[in-house]
Order: sequence, then structure tokens, then C-alpha cells
Amino acid sequence: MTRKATPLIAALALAVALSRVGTAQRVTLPLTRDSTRFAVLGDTGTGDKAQYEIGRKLEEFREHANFTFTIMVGDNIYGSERPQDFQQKFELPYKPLLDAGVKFYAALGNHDDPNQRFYKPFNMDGERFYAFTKGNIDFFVLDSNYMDRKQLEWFERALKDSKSDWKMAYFHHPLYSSGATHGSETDLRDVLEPLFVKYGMDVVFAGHEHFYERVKPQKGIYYFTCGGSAKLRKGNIRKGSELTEKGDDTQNTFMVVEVAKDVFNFQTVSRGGVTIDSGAFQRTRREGSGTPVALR
Amino acid sequence: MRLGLLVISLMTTSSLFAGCKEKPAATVKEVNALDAKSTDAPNPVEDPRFKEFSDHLRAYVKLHDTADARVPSLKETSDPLQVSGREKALADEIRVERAGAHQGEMFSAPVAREIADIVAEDFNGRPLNVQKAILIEVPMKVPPAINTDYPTTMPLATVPPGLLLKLPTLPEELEYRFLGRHLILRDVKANLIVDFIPDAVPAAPAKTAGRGAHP
Repeated sequence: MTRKATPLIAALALAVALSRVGTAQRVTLPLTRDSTRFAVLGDTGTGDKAQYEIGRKLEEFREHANFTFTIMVGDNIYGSERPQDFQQKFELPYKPLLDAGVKFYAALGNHDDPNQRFYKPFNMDGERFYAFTKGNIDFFVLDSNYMDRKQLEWFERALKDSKSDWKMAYFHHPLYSSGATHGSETDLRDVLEPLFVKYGMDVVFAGHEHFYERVKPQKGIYYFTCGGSAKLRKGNIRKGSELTEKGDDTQNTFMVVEVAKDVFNFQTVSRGGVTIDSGAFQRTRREGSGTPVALR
Repeated sequence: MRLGLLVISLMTTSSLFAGCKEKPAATVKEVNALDAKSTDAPNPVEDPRFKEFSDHLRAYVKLHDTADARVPSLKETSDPLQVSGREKALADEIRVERAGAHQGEMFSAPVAREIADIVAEDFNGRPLNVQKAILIEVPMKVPPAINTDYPTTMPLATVPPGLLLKLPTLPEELEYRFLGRHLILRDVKANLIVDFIPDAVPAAPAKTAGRGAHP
């Protein structure tokens, strides 16, 4: 399978609906029956006020959106990793979610001890990199801190064997970023992007940059950076970056995603409950004629 | 695969595509079950220049396994104390096994030279702003010492994949990391500094270029 970027993709991406921008306290996802819903958090483990407030806001959204799991794109625990740190920087901020049965699937960030993989609430199955399936989505969770041969080989085998409609990957370091502090991880991009393109990756989530950015689709792949769920690096998105489709570096954020068959819906919400980005896009089915889908 | 992207308003999606069916996770689970140890990647360790290093690695893994067998097995747990306690217990056992270990025991002088050359060549081939970016979160003020913990409150420096692919592949018990300008060999499960190559990363010129526009 090969993926071809088309001018249509960029044109359509530019037009992703932002109709709910500025709407407070409202879930704007379609909430389709039997869809797969999840939240996205990144760079969370500070144990400070912002993390707790995001946790509360996320729970408010869960009550309406009823998502069942959360993906964490790394930097799950900053600083020391004593038992009380796991409590203050993870278990307490997200207690209402954990109590409601929401499962967390963590990726490792550069501030995380790789032994976090043995911490059961992170559901890493004792692995630095792993995969899991929810609904019609295969998730590939990578350790971008240490992308060695072993991991790349595993990843390619996992992609090859993936049969779900959607393929989504997440890890800590963004392949494309307008961040002034870190920016795009081009080394990582060199080894991952060819696999993404070859095996039809649909969506990629990352953190590391302490802000929110939706990158213009690159080679047909959607990239989201959601690294401001506790940390925040104000004013860090380079102004005028050609990569940015939508960005916010003024407030802490989280994402809620709903995948209903071939439609990916997303809503990005600030610490204050304001929707700062939202939209939807559709993928074509892998099998079939490849006939372009008509615009609705 | 070709994506056909369709922009639709959230209002109109609410009634679309009901009945998305839950799918079993068999395929990915099977992949997860693969034994990473069995992966036989092409490995510069087969390079005759690294034969001695390869022997040292094998000996270390044996020692690691001996130490590992003396501490309770590490399984997933909701109690982080068990995770950190296990890490410490393993590190203590390895310290006992490697009492008196010194710098250069794994990276002998010729191996250190070869590896330092690879690191230097890799860094020198990168623009200054990229060199700077690689080291941006590397703890710079902690000198490495054999058989000590990697500083637990500090970030683990990310080693660029492009460089990792040039270095001899390590067994899963060990990894390369930067600590300051030193390249360290770190025991992953024990969080222990096993050896290091001093000043493997070339010193950046006093004036480094600022970060340019990102590609």
C-alpha cells in the first residue's frame, strides 16, 4: 500500500471545520452510537494546579462524551518518581476518571523512567513500545526517546500485521512542530515517516512541546501535538510557521477524539473549558476501488 | 493507501455511521507477544572493531541476569513502590557483582575511540542548531560515575535515531544515553551507569547558531 499526498488533502485540511471555536463547556463531538472515543493528554506529570484543573475539566467532558480511555503522549511523571509522586502527579489529578473506569495508555517521554512500563495504571504491558486495538483503530505506542533497530523492526512488523481500519501512532517527540524550543524532530522523522507512508498511518499524536498544534497534513497524515496538558510554554509557537494549521500556546489543553467508522472527529479544549479547535475528516476505505470519496 | 479526506461539519456528523462494530484485538496482541529478544537486527557489533565490546556486553548480560535472579521478578503492579524498590534492589545486586568496576571496563580504550569517532562524525555532520537541540535537555552538571544511579529527577537525554543506528546495537538490558558531553552506558532496569566515554560529544563552538526555521 502506498499513500499519495494530493493537493486535495491540503486544501481540505485547510477547511477543517472550526465551527465550535470559543464554545465553553460543550461537547461538540457527534457522539455517534458505537463509536470509539478517547482523550489525549500530554506532558502531564507536574502535580501542579494546571494538571488538576485539566483533570477536572476532562472528567466533566467524560460525563458527556463518555470516552473510555485516554492516551498519554509522555512526560507522565516529572522529577522524582517516588510512590507519592505517582499519587500526586497521576492518581489524584485523574482520580474521577480512574474511578469511572477510564483506562490510560502511556507512552514514555524524556522525563520518564522507562520502568514506568511496569506501573499497571499506565497499561504498557511491561513494554517500552507496544500496540493495542480499540474498535476499528490500531494504536502503536512508541518510545521516541530511544528509537533503535529493535523498536523499528518491531514497529514495521506490527504495521504489517495491522488489519484495523485506522492506524494511529503516538509517542513523545513530534515529527513536525512549530515550537521555538524544540521544533520538528527530523532525525526521528527520517526513520518513522517512511513506515507511516508505506503502511498507511492515518493520525499521529505527540507531545514534548508544551502547547497545542494541529499540523497541516503531511504526506496525507494528520499530526497533532498535545503537550500542554499541565506544562505550558507560552508564546512558543513560531509565528508564521507554514506547518501550523491551528495552534494555541496560551493555555493548557487536552483533546477528545471520536472515531465513527471512517470519520475522525476531534475537539481540543482548554483548561477553562473553551473549545479552541475542533473538526472532522474522513478516510477512504483501504479495500476497494480507490475511487475518491465525494465531498459532502 | 490513499486517504480521501472529507471535511464535514460537526453538526452533520452526528447522525452518520452508526453501528461501528467492536473488533477483536488479536493481531496487535500477537505482535505484542513477540519476543523482542529474538529480533535479529543487523548489528554493527559484528564488526571486528567491536568484537571485544561484544564480548563485554555478553559478559554484562550474564552478570545482569545473575543479579536479576536474586531479586523478586518484576511484573506489572499498581504499587509504584514495588517498581522503584525493585529497581534499587537490582542496582544494589549489580553493584555487588561489579564491585570495583572502573571506567573503561566496557568501553575499552580502542572501542571508546571508535565509538567516540562515530559520535563526533555524527554531530559534526549536523547543523549547529541541531547539535544544540539534541543537548537541550541533557543534564550538564552531573559528572557520571560507574555504579551510580542515573540522576533520578533529571530527564533522560534522547539519543538521535540516526546516531543510534550507527552505534553497535546493545542488548535490551543496556542503552546509550548522554550525560553532559559524555556517552554513558545505562542499565535500563537498574537505572545504573555501567560505563561511559568521557567527552564523546564534541564541544560546540563558543558561539552556536540560534535555531533556524524548522523544516
